[in-house]
Amino acid sequence: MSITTENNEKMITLMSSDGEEFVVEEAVAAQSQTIKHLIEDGCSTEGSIPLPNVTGRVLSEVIQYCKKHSSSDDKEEKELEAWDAEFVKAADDHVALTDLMMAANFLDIKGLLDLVAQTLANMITGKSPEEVRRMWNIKNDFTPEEAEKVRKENQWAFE
Amino acid sequence: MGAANLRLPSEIVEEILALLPQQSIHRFRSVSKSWSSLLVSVEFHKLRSRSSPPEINVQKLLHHYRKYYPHGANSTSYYGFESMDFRNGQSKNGEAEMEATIKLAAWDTILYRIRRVADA
Repeated sequence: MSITTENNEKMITLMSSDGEEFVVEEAVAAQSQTIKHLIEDGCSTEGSIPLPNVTGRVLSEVIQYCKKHSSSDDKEEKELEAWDAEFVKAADDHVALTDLMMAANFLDIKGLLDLVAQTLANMITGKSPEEVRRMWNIKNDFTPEEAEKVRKENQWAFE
Repeated sequence: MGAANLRLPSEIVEEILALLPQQSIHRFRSVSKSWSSLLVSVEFHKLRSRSSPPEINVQKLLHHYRKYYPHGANSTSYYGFESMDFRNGQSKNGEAEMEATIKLAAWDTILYRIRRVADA
């Protein structure tokens, strides 16, 4: 869609899986390699870019991140780090963070992907296997004998 | 993408787990069969060595080895531990040299080889 702002910045419309539309500057949207390639391939000239894997709630968070990171330069690195820390804190729990990470993966936004991956890694570092299964609904598909064997082999990691 | 049907694509799992310390990685082999096979795969360890330098914890390595392989394996030189004699739990040249030796090798590779020999 070719709308331009007063400072001549080209605008792009992104549509979430639940039909919500977000109008953002092209430079902000292009933080996503996936969207950047879509724009380069001319997929944004007609209407909006549909993002079938990302809900409006998640997309608005992603856009927040992209706005911040497209407007900051290297001099503001410290400030940006502090902003990132607040940003993942606001995402609140592992479910929201997991959604965010899947979106960052699909949209190919490396900085966001690394940030959320590190946050989730920190979150699970000290957890037990059972706690991790519960977090992500993972089925324990070991037989009791297999479970015993793998636990024994890695016993030191439980101490 | 809600809590109830949270499906973690394997590339997402890999990215997260590659950032964990060694102890968590070993503990999480107990989570499920797919996590277990991921966490011992060569690809995972490649990914991991790219994202973080290997941590070397000599005490833990020794503890692990002495506890689970008290009689030692056939040849310690197999692991690049030529200067060590694990059978009596001591290094001929002291722990400082041992630490230096181990630092030259990747911790993951060492444990992987120990396991392979022990399982054979």
